[in-house]
Amino acid sequence: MENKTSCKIIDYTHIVKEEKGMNERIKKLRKQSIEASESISKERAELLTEFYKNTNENSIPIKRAKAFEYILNNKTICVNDGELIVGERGERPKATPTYPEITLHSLEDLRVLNDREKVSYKVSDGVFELYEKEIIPYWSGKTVRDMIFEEVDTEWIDAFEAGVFTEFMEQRAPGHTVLDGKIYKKGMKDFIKDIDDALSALDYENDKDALDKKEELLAMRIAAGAVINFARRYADKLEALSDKEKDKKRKEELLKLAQICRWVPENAPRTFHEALQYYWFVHLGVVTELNGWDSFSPGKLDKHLYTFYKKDIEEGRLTKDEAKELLECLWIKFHNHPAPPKIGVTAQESSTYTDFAQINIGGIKEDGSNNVNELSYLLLDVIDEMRLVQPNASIHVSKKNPDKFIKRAIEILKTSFGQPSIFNSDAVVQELLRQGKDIVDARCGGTSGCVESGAFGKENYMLTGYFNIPKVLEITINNGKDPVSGKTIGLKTGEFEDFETFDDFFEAFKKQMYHFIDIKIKGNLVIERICAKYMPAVFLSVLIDDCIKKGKDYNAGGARYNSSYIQGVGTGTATDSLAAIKQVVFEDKLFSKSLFKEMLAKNFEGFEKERQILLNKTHKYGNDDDYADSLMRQVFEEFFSYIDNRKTYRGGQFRINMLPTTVHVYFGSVLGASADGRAAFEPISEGISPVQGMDKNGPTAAVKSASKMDHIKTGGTLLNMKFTPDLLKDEKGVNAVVKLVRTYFTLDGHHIQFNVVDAAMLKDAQKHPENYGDLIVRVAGYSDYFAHLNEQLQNEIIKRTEHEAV
Amino acid sequence: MKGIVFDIKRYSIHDGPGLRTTVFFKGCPLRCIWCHNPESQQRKPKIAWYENRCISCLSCVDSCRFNAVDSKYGININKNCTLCGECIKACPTNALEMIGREYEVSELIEEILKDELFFENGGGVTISGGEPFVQSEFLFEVLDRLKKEQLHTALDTTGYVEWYKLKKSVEYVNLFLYDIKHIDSKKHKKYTSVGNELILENLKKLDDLGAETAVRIPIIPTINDDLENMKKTVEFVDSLKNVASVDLLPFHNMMEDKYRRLKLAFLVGDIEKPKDEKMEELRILFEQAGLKVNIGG
Repeated sequence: MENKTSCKIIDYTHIVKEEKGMNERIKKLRKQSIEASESISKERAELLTEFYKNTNENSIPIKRAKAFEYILNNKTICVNDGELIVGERGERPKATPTYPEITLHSLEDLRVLNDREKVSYKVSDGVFELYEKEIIPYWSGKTVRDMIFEEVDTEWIDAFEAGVFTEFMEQRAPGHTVLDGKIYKKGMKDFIKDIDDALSALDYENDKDALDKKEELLAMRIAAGAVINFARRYADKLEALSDKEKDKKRKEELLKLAQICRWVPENAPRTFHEALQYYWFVHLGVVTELNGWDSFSPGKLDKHLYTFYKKDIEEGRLTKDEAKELLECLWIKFHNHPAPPKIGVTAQESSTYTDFAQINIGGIKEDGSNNVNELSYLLLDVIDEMRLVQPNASIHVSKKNPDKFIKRAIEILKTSFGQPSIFNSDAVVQELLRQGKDIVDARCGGTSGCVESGAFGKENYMLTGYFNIPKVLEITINNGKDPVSGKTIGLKTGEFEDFETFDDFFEAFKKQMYHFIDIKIKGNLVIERICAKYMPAVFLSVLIDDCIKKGKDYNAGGARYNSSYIQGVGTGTATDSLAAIKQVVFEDKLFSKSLFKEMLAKNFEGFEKERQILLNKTHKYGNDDDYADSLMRQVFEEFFSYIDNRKTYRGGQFRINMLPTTVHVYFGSVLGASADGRAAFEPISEGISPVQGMDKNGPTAAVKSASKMDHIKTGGTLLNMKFTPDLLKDEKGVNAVVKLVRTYFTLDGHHIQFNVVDAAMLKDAQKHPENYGDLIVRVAGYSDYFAHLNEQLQNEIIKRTEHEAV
Repeated sequence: MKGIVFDIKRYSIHDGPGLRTTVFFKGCPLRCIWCHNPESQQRKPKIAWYENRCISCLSCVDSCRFNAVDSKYGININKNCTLCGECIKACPTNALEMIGREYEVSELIEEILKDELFFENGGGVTISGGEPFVQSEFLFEVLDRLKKEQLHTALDTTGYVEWYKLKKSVEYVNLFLYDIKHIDSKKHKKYTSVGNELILENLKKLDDLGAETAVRIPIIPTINDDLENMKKTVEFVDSLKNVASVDLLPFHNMMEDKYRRLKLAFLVGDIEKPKDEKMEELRILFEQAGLKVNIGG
């Protein structure tokens, strides 16, 4: 069971059994949520199609708003037994809707979803029937996905099919969006007032866009009202349930919940409980409107909720335990909402139920001061007790935060639960400032999805696709041809045999990379226009500054800041391959260029010794070795400077980040043998982590190598590190990790994640040592590489790990 | 000035306080039968063969100009070897490794400084071995440079060294990691090849000078773990004034592989690692004398 994922997709099957700290209610809810099976909910598709068939509305934003309203007015109201936060997107927990206006599942797609071994969704006969009779006939040829594939160039399609890059928007809407603190101060009623103010301020005579703005604002108004009404429907249902309820305590609870749903989201919340319920209604609105990537996130919960928490406790309305219980109820809500079902390449690149909602804890406040408070620690307790794959939780560490905060997080990590991940709050601020954001907006920002930095509540920062850097290298070696398909899809930059110096070769690689970046960006512009025109997110626009003020949709440039990201993938593989080519082919001339090309073409068949040389005798990224690390930097700088600051359709800028989710597996599967000794179709390196098993100088060296990348120029990087629980056993071990984190962050590292391995992973390491060369274990008074130990010793360590697992 | 170092471990957390880089000097005057680092004993570098990495391509045999590599029973390096390193270069899988290589002082310092930032707040450098004083000239140059770099320095020593050298090191070293292997000199000699008089005397003198020490005691079942020896050891340590901690290092036989690679006889294969209860018992024994105890360093 190698953990192939790098963006915190946790396999929790083995920890489900544990229950710690939770009260009976939470235990029951958690169990229900874990045991519920993922299924396709037909409701949204059915209601949407019904609406579209019967409407005469011509304005696209208003049509979208009315469809949204129609869905919320007619969908099932689901209240689960015992819960204290209400609201489901589907008819029941884990019933997941489809979004046929964006991507239309064929009957075959549905069959695959139902039958596939991993990440399957149950599809009932009713859904098949509905799709066959209603959904497919109506939406066929009209979806955003159809429009995209219609409008992009053939060179885009060729590169996409070869796996040079992926495209986020081919099945889902722009996402990664996070909320700031505004909903805790304003009710939907207040937002409607803002909309009305904006409407009355429109200048129809002098502003040629005034009528478009009017349509958009009216649409926002409908959407805001729809969510108020949706909450009222919950209030009605809760009252009805309360009437029938026999248990006196639950009867009162239901009544109290009804009162809360009558108050929020219409009005600003007054209590901790209202604040949480408010967020959840807003969350449901956003994820029902569109299937935006990475769900939707509340951002810095400890910051937003602290005043409510403190006030409620001071005034005797809430105890610490009750606050924890409510937060745990919210956690279960997130867990009840799997990612919208993906298909094809997108399913391969992101194969998980996790929808990447991310809760940020700690960091700094808008005035730059320490944001770690009592609630930050309570949230960490919640993570520790809940152990659910979603929401993802992260701690944000600033130089202003105490070590105690990091240590509490390590306590949780140590139990082999992959959360929380650790972010450098100060670097995030610097990244956002570099992009030209206001200092307060930057400090109110954080990370979402995997590791993506953004100005919460004020930015549309969308990820547009992963970019396969090693693939570009392969195409360069083959003079523009993709050796896997045999098709020429790149520039003819010269035969490999004809390059006289490494610099000449690198120059060709650079040109090839520029070429594919240009194709990607050209495609992005087409897609952004389609999203802006045909896929307004009118409810989300209510929530993100300055859409109301500008009268402009979130997807059309209404946000204060607009960034489109391209994610570089394969830093380690590309660097090690370039280092090998430089050293072995151009400097030592150990192999002739034609022989070298032949080895790669034959996937090293008949060249095992040569492959071993490439694996073992060349410079590798991740070892604090400047030979390799400087090449990493060179590739990074080229990638960065050719993309950063280019203009997007929405009036924003293109940016880069370096993260892979699980795409490194897919990208590897379309890539032949690489110059670093990697066999064809094996995964490439993930994030900015070294090639699996190639960092052999320990964690400080790996961290140093990674920090040679200029993280501040990115909008997020991802570094993974594997540890055994032994290394974190005592205070000394924990302190060492704290120091490791602090130093990486002093060096401007953006993010680090510790995967504390469990016995199952160690057993896998025994079978596949090549994937675990970097795994360090504490042997006795010293530590050593697991792969270096003999079998008997490895077994002993496995036993010990089993024994010590919490 | 050059010295021979056989390993540099970064992210070391068991050899002194904080995050450290530990440098292992080659060469040792003792021959402890339980030695965990047998590769440290000889001062001269040696080539070791990792059987599990070898793909039997025999590139090593072909590469040797001195007929020093043969492949009769696995890969053997015979006495013709000049340590030129060609076979190591030729080996595609790193199955041959040079144990120990020469470092210039400046080169070693450069390597250490790579982790300088990690040493802040209590971490630093540990010089270990072997016995670092075997290469005393090199050691003093290194210590002098480390002091100039203002790094916290720990020195892991057997104490089997001329007093004037140890005395001189006091001005450079922040913490001595000082081994006591047996309190009875005869037994000490039997198991380590030397008596303990000089070692204990040096420790007393070091203590009188006010040098801070962490006393390290390997716990080897049937050899030194008996209560009598331990009580006397406690008594001795208790008579010292500047002992920061006592580190009890439980024996393990995880170094058996190393012996095989170096083609050395492994004499302690039938000794088992001490039981947790035993370690606890010993912990209490030392703690009762008011000493701070760490198990495992």
